[in-house]
Amino acid sequence: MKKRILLVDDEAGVTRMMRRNLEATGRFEVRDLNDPTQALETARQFRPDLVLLDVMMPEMDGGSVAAAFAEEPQLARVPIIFLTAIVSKKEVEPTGSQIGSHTFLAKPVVFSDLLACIDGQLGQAG
Amino acid sequence: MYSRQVEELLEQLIVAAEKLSMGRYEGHEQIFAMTDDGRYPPVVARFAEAFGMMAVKIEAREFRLEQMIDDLTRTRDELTVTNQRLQQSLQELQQAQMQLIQQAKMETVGRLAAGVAHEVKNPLAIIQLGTDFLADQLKDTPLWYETVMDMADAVQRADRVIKGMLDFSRSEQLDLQEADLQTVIDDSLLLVRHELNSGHIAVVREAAGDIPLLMLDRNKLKQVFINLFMNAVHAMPEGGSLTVSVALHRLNPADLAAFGSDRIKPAAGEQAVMVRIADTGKGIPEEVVTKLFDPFFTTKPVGVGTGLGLSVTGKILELHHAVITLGNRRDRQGAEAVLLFTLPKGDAQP
Repeated sequence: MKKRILLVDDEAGVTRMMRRNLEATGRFEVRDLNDPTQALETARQFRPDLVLLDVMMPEMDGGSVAAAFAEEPQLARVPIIFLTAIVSKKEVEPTGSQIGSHTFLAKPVVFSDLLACIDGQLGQAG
Repeated sequence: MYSRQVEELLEQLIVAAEKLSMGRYEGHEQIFAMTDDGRYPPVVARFAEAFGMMAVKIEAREFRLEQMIDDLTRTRDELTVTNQRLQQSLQELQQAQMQLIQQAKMETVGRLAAGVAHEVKNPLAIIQLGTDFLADQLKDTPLWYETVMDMADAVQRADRVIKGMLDFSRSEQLDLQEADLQTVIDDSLLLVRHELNSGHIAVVREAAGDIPLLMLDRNKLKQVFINLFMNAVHAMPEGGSLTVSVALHRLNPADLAAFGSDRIKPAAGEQAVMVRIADTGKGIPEEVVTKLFDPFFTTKPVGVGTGLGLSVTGKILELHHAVITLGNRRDRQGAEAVLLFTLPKGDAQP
């Protein structure tokens, strides 16, 4: 059974490329979203196994989206990987770093690193 | 009768005049003595007296002149000293001005870097993921695959530049903890061991046992050392040796003359930890020495250096109250970096 991944990034190019890569593995069902204010509603319906979330977005940042998820019993335990353009790779491991309880990946991320991080998170989640 | 005496007096006057012309004034006293006793006709006596008075006045005037010359000489010496001081102040002012300009330039670059970095990372992310996708799709068509991988490499290169800019803009904040500088250096050497091995570079590590702990930001300093080690690697394309020594050092005035920073001034006699990183490469051309710490200055081929390494290095060291100087080795061909970490006051050893 394919794992469901929700992508939230205001850059349509980023979500489109991620989606293509993820779908090409044949292992994921992907939903992408460029409007973070729709993230909660979409997640309630889509029921993702994992969320890839951009940090800096206009209207609503990644932190606020994650906080909204944390208040929903059905979504609170869904692992989130934050994608950020404001830290350099030196500060974040290529396959993700824990900052607090969250996993962060630095943009631009190499897909194999992203995949390793996703597998790590999904493995831990269950 | 008179004529004999007058002749005698005239001879005295001639002698006195000759002495006077040589700057000797003793003759006139004798003349006064000779004219005192009324032996001479009054007009001759008055002439002799007038001559004597003239000699006295010349002597007095010459004495005053000498005094004035002394005064002038003293004044001139004082003016020379004042002038030297003024020159020095001017030089210091010019230096301070240069530093202010440099600082302003760095701050502008820093601000610009952070803004640009964020804007460029998203497009880079799109290209990176695009090439990842294409590489997967084209892996059975070697020429296409290689083309895509070349593009992916280019993205990584651009990312390194951005990373350098981010590091530069954020090198302001330090996370200081008590740490052993030697361990930081050894950890950094470990991180570049692959480059050292593949570049056929032998490491000569000279360590001292009595180095006190310092307040350091280990990660940022690792960045500094990795940068200096990588510069050494790039300077020795045909292999060579890298000497890294750490020692406790009492600063002498000659040491200090070599270090340019005006904001951090270790004093002569103070103890400091001295780190020397020396390579056996071609050395640094004279004309680039002053530009080494400028942002975006690089001597490396396109794609190898971002030109930000040493400006970040300089900034991180400055925040550690450490100073660095880069130049050519005196003992043999090659370049060397010498870093001085001043000790906290409590740690200074007698």
